[in-house]
Amino acid sequence: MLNVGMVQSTEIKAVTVTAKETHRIEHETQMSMTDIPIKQIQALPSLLGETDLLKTVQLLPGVQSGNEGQSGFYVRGGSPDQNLTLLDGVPIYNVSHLFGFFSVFNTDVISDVKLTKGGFPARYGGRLSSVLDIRMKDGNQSEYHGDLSLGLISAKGMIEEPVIKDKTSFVVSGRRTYADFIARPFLKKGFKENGEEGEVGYYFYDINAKITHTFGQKDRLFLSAYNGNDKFYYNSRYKTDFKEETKSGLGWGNSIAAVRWNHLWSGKLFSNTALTYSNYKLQTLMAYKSRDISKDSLMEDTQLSYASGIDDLALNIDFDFIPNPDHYIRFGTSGILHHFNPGIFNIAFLQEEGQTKVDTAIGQKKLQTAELTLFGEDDWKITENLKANIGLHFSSFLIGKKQYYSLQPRVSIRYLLPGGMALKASYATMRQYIQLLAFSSIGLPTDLWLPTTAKVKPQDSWQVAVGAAKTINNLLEISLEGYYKEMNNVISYKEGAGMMQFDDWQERVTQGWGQAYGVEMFINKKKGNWTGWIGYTLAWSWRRFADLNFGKRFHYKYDRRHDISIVSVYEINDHIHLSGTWVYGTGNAYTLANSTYYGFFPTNADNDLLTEVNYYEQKNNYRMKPYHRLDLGVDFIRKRKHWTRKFSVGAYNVYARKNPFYMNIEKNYSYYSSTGEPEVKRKLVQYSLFPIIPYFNLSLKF
Amino acid sequence: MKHAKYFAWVFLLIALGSCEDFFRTNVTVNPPAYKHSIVVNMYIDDSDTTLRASVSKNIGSLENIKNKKDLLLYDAMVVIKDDQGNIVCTLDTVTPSFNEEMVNYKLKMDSAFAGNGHRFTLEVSDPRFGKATAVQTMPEKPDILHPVYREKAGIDMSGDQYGLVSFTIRDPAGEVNYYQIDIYVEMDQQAYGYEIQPVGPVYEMSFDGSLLLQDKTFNGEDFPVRVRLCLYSDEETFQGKMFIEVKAITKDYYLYARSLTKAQDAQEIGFFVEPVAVYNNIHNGLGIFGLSATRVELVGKEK
Repeated sequence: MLNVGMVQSTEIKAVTVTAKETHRIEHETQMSMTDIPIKQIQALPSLLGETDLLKTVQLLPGVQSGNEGQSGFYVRGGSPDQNLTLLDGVPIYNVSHLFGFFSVFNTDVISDVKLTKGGFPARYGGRLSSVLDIRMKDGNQSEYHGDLSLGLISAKGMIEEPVIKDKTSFVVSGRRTYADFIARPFLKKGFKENGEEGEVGYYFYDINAKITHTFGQKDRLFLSAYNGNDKFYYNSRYKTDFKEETKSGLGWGNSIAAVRWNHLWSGKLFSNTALTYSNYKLQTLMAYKSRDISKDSLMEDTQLSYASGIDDLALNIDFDFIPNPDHYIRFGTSGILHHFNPGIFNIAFLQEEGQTKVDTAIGQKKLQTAELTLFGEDDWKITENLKANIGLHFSSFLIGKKQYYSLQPRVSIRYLLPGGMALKASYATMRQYIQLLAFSSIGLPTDLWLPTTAKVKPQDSWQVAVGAAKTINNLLEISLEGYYKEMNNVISYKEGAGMMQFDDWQERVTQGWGQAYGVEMFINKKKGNWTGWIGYTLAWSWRRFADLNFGKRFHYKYDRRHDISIVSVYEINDHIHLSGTWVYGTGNAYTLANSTYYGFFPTNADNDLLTEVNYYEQKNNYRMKPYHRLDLGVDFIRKRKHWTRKFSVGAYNVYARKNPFYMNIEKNYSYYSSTGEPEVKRKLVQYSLFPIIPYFNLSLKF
Repeated sequence: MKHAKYFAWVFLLIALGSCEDFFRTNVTVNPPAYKHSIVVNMYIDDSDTTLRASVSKNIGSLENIKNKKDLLLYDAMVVIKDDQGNIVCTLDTVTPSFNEEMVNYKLKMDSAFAGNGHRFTLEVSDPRFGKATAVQTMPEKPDILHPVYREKAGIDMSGDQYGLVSFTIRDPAGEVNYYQIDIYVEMDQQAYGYEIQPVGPVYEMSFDGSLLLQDKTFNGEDFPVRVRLCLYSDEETFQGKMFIEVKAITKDYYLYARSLTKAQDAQEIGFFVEPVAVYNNIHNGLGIFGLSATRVELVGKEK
């Protein structure tokens, strides 16, 4: 007989086991893609304290910044218009404020940022070089939160709140610069000293809003909107015997709106349907009016205005279908109606009362186009170690009677080696039907979005990339990628063509060929007190146009042989966080005369015409000095039960490097004392924009 | 927060430091490298009885010179050869005159150069720069028909009256042809140019005020040319004789004139315009060798 002693059991508390899925770079089939944690973007030092998402994107390997301080970015030898920038799935056409110095994205309402530079899955299309997918955060569904902040140039606020707890919430945020408010009294005084009245100023603002509603377990509805504008104005009034009024203004901005419905059809099928609207417009106005007060008659009334822009209305529907654990299938379609205004001048003038008034519009014809896309892709686990994403993207574009079609195959393969290293390869073809006609010198709001036409062909590219990726000790992601890309029908202004001209824009552009290749290394530490990355890019980028550089191949303006970025955030403790970035880039290619020569040109008159030719061997023949810059910042954080205060100080370009922005050969005239003949002294001057720029920012979260 | 004051000091120092020389944002940098080259400018028209050339050297884009004439080279041998390599003519060194400031080689001939349809090589041999060459074929004389002038043909956008000259170019088929069009008035044995404006988009203005035209849109056909003459007052009317001058020019001549015009325009506008490379066709040197064949016609007034 066996006696077993029983003891009273001890009740233990329930244990909840949670597993957070760790994204590991070697597990993904997708290559050439980077997620940037929004927390990291907010922690980095910035120009004038304005946290800038796009300037953080510029710190990634394979991504180059343009000119000093500009938010535009260049991916793997492509131009800025070859980047599809999506805010909640809606394209944003102008991504910057203040002539490119600040991006339009307020990081207070951003939840995710993902950049894809190559190996594009079939769901993406419409641009050759990259997709920057930015998602606005949903409002908190359970409690009220807010954020107020004050920086050197702008003030921001954000509120998120549940409307119906766990069902409906909203988030709204706004940002506005305030320099015009502060300067207004001083400027008014300046006008008065000249015997005038008037206002002059500049500001930008943006507003984001999103409402999220959950209908039961299977349906969710999202409404999101963005509006942002830049405005410059100058008004003056002068009164003696005559009354004169001058008004001028320049304004540009984006508006977007989206209604999105997510539906879970079954455990295996999910759909996402969205109706979206996107608009970008630029408007300028110059007006002058004068009256003879003694005669009470109008002397002159002149108005010149210019407007350009683009409107998109789109409907997208896509499905995620997971038939079994080895397949993840996505398919869908979208239709977009584009309305282009390539630039119209309105001129109205009346000289002296009683005379005929001229009121006319001169410019480019407005254009309407339709774009249709279809895609299907399968993320297929072929074996335990081998995965592939195979897809096909179809697009069609209709302008007038001309229709274009394109079938774009996409393949990405990942093979997992023993030891956890993944080998990856991808091939993608892309087509782009709309393009930005931009000046090479700087990014301006006057740059025009224009469609493919019967004369201007769509841009095409193909890209192949190979690489390896591994996570070390669950801490450090390391990836190495090589890529080769060719682009056809890339667009550029013809030599000597200028903006805001009356003639047909199609006559001012030329299309050509582009080539880019290089190697990128990325070491990224995402966990721990110390986070950050080191990125290095070795790259070449070329262009060839029949009408430029006499048909010979030349370096793209942003051909940058070496590009290094070191990004670091160190949390000393809960109260003090240090951050820093250092960037280095080979100087931009620039066209400068090597030498000058003189000659003559025969005429019918007695005198020949003397000619002075500034000769350069080829376009972009000169390299500016390398660009490098160190930014440092410190955050002082104070946490209380209901609020957290953060005070940030730092500096942009800490060691005041005079980085090149623009170069010019300048002439100084004087006279030889001996002969009295004019003497021209020339020197090459490099202009820089920003010396060291300190900043501070105070924010309060509650 | 006990370290806060140190960070505040660092920030203050940085801020003060930024008020110094750091704000100076322009610096002088080294110009792009260049090599000295021989520069040749020579244009021969089939009607020329005097051949003229400019032979000089270039200078670095930042080099300063007292006088452009200091760049002229006088030790060169300038010859024109025919298709078989025979020397057709050799130019003599001359001192530039007031009206021909950059012309330092000349040859006066007994008759017009002609040579239509023939290929010529310009050879300039200089002891320092070696041999520079360029090859061009003399175009055939252009055919022009029915030149006529209508006075007071309309009013332009600025309210000024304009006259209209019209004629037809009979363009030879099967080859790309390039033209330069100019209009002048001869009075008291002097030629006076008038400001002209093209009617239609196929023309390009040249920096010397003439029009440049290529037959891309009318190859092998009769092309009606219409050119406005700017009149500055209602009373203004032509005295003397009006002539149209149409030159059939070589492609290189066309490309040079066109690119030089665009380069000058771009230089005036500056920052917002793509820089323009000036075309040159001198092998082992810089500059231009261009040939032209000219037809001049008296323009009759429309009745």
